[in-house]
Amino acid sequence: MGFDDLENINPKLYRKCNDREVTTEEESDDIYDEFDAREIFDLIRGINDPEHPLTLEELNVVKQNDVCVDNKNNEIKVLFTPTIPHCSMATLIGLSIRVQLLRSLPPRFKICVQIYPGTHASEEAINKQLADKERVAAALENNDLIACINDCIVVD
Amino acid sequence: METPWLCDKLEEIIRTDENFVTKSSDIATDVICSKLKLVTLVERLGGVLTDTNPDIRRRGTEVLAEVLQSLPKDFLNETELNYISAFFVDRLIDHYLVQPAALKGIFAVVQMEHTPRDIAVRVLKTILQGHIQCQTLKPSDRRNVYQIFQLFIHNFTEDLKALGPDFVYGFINVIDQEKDARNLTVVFEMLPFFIKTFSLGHLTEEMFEIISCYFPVDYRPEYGDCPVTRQDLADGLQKCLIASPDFAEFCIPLLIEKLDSKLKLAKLDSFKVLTAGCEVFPANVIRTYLLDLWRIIQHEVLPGTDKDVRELGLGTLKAIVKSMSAAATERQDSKVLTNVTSFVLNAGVNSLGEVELNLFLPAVHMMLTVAEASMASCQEVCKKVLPVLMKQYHRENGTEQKVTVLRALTSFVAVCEVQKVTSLCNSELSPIWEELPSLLLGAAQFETPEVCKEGFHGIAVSGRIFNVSSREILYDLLKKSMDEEEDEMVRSEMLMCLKRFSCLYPEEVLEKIVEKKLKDINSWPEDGCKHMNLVLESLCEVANTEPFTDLIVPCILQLIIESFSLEKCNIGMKCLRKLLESCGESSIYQYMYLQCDVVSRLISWWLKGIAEEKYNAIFENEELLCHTAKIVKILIKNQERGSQAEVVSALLPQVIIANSGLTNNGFPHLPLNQYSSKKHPVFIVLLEALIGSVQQEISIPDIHQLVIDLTQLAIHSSHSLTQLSACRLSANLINKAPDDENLVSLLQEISKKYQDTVLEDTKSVIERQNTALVIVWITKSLVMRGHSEMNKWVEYLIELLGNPTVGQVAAEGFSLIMKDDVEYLNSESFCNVKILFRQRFFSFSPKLIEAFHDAPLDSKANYLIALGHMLQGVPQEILLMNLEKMVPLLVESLQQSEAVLLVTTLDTLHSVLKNSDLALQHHLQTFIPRILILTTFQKSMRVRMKALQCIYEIYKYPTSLLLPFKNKVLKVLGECLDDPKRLVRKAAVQARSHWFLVGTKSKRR
Repeated sequence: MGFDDLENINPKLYRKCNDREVTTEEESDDIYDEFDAREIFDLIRGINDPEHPLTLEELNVVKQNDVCVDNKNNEIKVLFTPTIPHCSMATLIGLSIRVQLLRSLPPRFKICVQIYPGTHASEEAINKQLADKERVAAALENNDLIACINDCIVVD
Repeated sequence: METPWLCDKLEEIIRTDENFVTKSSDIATDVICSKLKLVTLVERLGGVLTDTNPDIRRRGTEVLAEVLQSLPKDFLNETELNYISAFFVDRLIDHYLVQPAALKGIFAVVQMEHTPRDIAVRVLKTILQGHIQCQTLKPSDRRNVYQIFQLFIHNFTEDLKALGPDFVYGFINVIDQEKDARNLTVVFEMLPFFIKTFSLGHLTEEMFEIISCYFPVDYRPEYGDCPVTRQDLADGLQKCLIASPDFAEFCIPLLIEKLDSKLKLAKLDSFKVLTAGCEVFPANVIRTYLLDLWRIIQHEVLPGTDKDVRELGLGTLKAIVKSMSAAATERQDSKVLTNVTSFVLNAGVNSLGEVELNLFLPAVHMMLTVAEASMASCQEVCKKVLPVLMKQYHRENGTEQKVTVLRALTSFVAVCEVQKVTSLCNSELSPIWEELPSLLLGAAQFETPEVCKEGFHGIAVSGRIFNVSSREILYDLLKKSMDEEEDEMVRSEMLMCLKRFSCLYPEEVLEKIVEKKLKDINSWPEDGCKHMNLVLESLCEVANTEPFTDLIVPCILQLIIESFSLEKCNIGMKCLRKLLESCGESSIYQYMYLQCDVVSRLISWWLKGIAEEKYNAIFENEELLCHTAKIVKILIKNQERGSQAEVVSALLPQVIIANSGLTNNGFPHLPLNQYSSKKHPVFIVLLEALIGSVQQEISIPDIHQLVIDLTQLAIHSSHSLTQLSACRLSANLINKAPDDENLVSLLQEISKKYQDTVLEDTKSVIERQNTALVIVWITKSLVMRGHSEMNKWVEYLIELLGNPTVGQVAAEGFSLIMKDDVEYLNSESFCNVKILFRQRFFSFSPKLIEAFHDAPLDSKANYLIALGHMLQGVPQEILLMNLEKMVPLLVESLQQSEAVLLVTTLDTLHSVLKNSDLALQHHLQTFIPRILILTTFQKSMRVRMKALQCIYEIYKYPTSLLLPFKNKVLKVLGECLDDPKRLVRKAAVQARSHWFLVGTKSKRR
């Protein structure tokens, strides 16, 4: 994708939140730390937008409030908001979030990534694509696509 | 056998031996020491030099050339060189096999001191007449040609100028189409001089063409190839491209064309050349391309998708504006400059309207860059931008937006400060300068701390803009904030502001703030201590500059000594300490030591207080004691030797007498029967502060007894501060003591006394462990000074590792020995520190390893821990040198179950993996599986985290080494994702997501 035809050259920027502070409970060997929304948010907030050198957090595509963790039923739900309703990158962004979560969370969790209701023109179609395991698996077989996703999600 | 060149066999041997030329330097040696005359040599070579077979002629010529090359540069006189050069020039038109040898010969002659003047013209005529086709020669021979040219143009400039355009034309033909990287570096090196020296005339474009064809340099050195890098070539080429102002009309269009490409490298190189070119190229030529240049720069910087390109693009923009500013001043025509600034401002100012949008910061950045270019451009930009930003500040409501605008405002004001732009320079600026202070003052009192902080920062930066009335308001604000502001961020900015104004307007600050505040101090009620802390802290920020010191320091000192309130003392003491630790100026040390007599007043105060036993809360407070010790130490450390001696002789007896109460003529002993005395901490800590940082030459009376007493105290005291101080001070004294028989006998006594105690089963465990600690400290002190006794002590320490009671203490001691002591045992406190003492200590590792092999199973871990500490302390290079030997022990350590040992070992591995290239590449098979096991080590999360960090570092190794492990690593790390600890999970995610990239085409690998 060339950079000369950016869809949205001047998006609105949001402030990054500070790094999570390490508590004494977290440093103690005897306490079990539950998965919480912040932890999941930390996994995805650093993902880069495919077309800007900006993170999903800076673009407000993902928000901590839109992350839901249900430890009891092993379910995690993430809603994301594309910057503009016609954003053609929405599927790619959703796929990136999904791949990152698949790689970073224990398999016991059922992961659900969806567009925040009412923020994208083809919301339903994209949600359906993202929920379809086989289509996701097929997409990940595509070397160019996975290379693109890798560049978005792996940050130092 | 006689050497062939000394008898008449030379000709024969050259004909038969193809590699005879390697002997040339031997011939040269004989020529130098007059065993052989050069003329004779030439005569003897005569046959081969005139042979009909060109290959034989080549051999002869080559031998002669090599001999000349090996002679000293002043060995031959001009007549000799004349003959020789005539010969070589003749050979230039010989057979193509002979030509390279002749070039070698000419290169040798040209390097001589007495080179004949006309040689250049003769050689060049031959070359330029086309007898030599440069590009058909071998690369190394071509390099000879270039080097000959290089010498010619530097040494015979005038003669060559006389040759006119013919020479330039010939030169262009010679270098045209060179492809070898090493040769190109030579060419690029001589070209700038050539271009500047010889008039190119109608050949200018021709010359530019043959240079510019290399741009942008596309070159990848093959492995093990020549040492030339792409960057070397690019830098060389850049100097050629901008060597002449006449190149501008060819160069700029070329760069514009390259900047339009998609290749990042082309953009970066082009911007670099343009930036450099703006200093050389005439402004009027640059001007004709302004529109195109601006179009490209805007595309890359607003917002710009690549950081590197954006930075360089801004650099170019700055260079262009600089060039235009200079031209505007020269021609007295401001339009020249406003042309370009108007482009920038038109594009930039619009983006200032929406603070939270992506373009705001890049726009600010761009206009700042233009402002930085010159005083004139700074004015142009500021008069347009500042009003917009100020309006924007009032319009925005959100904290973040206000902060962003304030930051932008402040950076523009800072540039004005650098460019010396004031309201006097430009009448359009004065209303802005009028309004700005009140805006900043408003910000500094805003309700959210983030905005206040930026407000104070802005005030500090724009200090000069503030007029009398706004300063009045500011001083009131500062006074209020000093008392009340509790937010750390705001406070520190506020203090920076105070500091800045105390430099700009010292008298005002003194009168309006400092004096008023000091007046209040003594009348403060007991419960107002929090305010007092804040106020004193603020005052200390300015206390290290004249004229504030004189007022503030005595006041604080008085507060400490006379208040008899623990809190007030503590606050005062902490402030003094902070002042001393942060100032680093000798004037303050001198002032406090001499004028205020701080050292002796504080010590007497403590001694008196302890004796009276009236204010136990104060005089038994450890925090206060530590602050005092630090103050005393810093002051004494920074005195001359004479003053140090005075202090010691005056105060040391006082301290010791006060503690013991004994004065029976001799030197008093410590009262050893009262190990739990509450006075001990005061005594020992102050004693250490007094004598721990004096120079070695200052004699301490009766060290022997003092050290014995101190070690006894360290063994028997149960108070940790006392114990540490006592150990450290005895180590300090032993380290600094003169190396004579007294020291040896002292060491002997100590070792006799304690080496038994430590192993005696009848003593208590604590006592034995404390004794081991004393031994560790003394060993450290000896190791640091590299004393001859150290071997015994270190070996003994290794022995202790096998002991079940004290082995662990000894093992931890290895870390103590390796680490720097920041307090007293260092060169700053005048200790003997040999530079390579760690390496020397490390040289005991073979002994340690040997002992490890012989040790019983239950104490093996101690040896490994000790080794681990050694490895952590030793410099990385030494560690890498010994790595192969250490690998088996590291593996052994990884299989133990002590968490401490595992963490140390993994730490060592981590630093090796992180800081060295592929040092462990042959051991991955050994380490990866073992580290992977530790990623699920139940007992300690630190082990799990360290193991995961190691796995992460390994991912940087070459793909071919990692692929066999990829699946296994991903599988095991997958299990770590469900670790009970969040921090472990985080480390696992980092490692795992990077290992996914192994074997893929990712930018990050």
